[in-house]
Amino acid sequence: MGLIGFKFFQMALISALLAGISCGIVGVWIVTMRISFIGVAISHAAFAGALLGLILGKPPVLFAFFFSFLACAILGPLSDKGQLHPDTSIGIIFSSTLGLAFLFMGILPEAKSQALNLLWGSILTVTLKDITLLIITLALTIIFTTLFFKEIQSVIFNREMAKASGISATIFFYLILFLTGITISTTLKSVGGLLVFALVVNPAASAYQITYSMKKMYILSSLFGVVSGWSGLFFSAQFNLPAGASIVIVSTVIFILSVLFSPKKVRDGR
Amino acid sequence: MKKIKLDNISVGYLTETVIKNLSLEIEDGEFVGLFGPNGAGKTTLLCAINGLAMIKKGKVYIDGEILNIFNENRFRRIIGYVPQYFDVDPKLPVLTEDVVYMGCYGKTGLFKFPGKREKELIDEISILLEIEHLLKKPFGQLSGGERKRTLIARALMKEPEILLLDEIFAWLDIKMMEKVIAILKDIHKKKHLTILIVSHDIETVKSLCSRIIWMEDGKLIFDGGKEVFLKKIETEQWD
Repeated sequence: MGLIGFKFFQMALISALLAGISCGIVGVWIVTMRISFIGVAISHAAFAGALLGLILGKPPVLFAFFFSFLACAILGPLSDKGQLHPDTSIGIIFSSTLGLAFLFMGILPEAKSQALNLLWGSILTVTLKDITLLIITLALTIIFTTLFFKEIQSVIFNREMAKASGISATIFFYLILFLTGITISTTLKSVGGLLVFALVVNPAASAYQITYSMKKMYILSSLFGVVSGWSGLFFSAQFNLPAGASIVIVSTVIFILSVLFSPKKVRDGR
Repeated sequence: MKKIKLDNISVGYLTETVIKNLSLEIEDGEFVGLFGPNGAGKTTLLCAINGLAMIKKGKVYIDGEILNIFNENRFRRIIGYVPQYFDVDPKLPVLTEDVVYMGCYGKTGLFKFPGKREKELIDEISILLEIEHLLKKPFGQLSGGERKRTLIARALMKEPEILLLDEIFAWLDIKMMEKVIAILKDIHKKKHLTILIVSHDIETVKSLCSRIIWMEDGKLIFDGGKEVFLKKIETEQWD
């Protein structure tokens, strides 16, 4: 394919590789802890933040970080202390951040193409700066997962039991949420605010159908993330389709296949 | 090997107080049975000792030191805790072996992984509790009794000085129950652990505990020796 010779396409491939791995890792936490809706709420908060950045003429990614951190800081305690049923609190955050996003789109003073890029993603226009941010995010995610593998696994298994073992489970839970926020914020430009979460959940949910090993799940999830990114890019170039949507559709097809051919024989042991 | 003192504590969760103004002292090496109807506050009392429940009033002392957010992790590393029940997805990618190892992760500390000593310990404990054939199976696919044995093994992995056991005999068959009773007796004798056990089974009292605490509605109704308790339930026709 001649497209590979173009620099913009090479940058898109590198971006898909980096985003696929980091979203794949973050997805393992989200899927195994069954907090998918927290992730959705964080991604919408990041999207709203990026739009506010555009309105103020500041770097969108910085505001996306800030808004996703804010969402984590609100959602974490709500889910932790059970003041409200998680569904209710997440539902409120989710709808209000989406409302904010559309409000910001409405009051955006100039051409809305940048906002639409954030909404649908524009992986073909990633810059060196975007790639640097993705590299930093991936490095943070890998270092965190490698250094604290056993603590993260304990928190995933059961937060109360992790605490009872003497692990600072609440701190690790928040670190997981914040790293999710960072990953979503930096991936926003490539896949778009509406679709980024599918790239987090779908590859991990596919890996979840295949393995009982946490290490293998990280590897498979990242692999599915990269395969989704690269295949989506090629399909988009071949059939002139939106790149972000193509990536997400490929990841959904991988998920459907993994469910259909899942080697896990589930039996209720209790 | 640690003394526990609860000084006029009220314990609960955000919106409710389960235990009200309770004071209690448990000496080093005591084996205490905690009994009472459902909702009496037995599990909450165990959670107060390892800092998992919210202490709204009063203080918890372990070995003379007040339990607080700064030292709770240090104490949790010497407290083995077996919960009553919690749900696990059968597909969760966590093996039984991982669950047992998790018991010592807090004690191992950050940036370190279990070593030779922990490997020897897991071999020893899994043979003792007959779970060695389950170690490579996903924890979520174990039966209730197998899960209980795994969680007991997990609690023992940290070589605890205090054991808090919540309904550990639920789901166990008679043979395994006798085995676990023998193991607990043995550990208690050899290591002189302080043990609190929540149970509904009166046979447990007879064979294990030296002291009985009866709770109702978050309050102590009875606190005394095993013989006195057994006599009391015979003469006073307790339920």
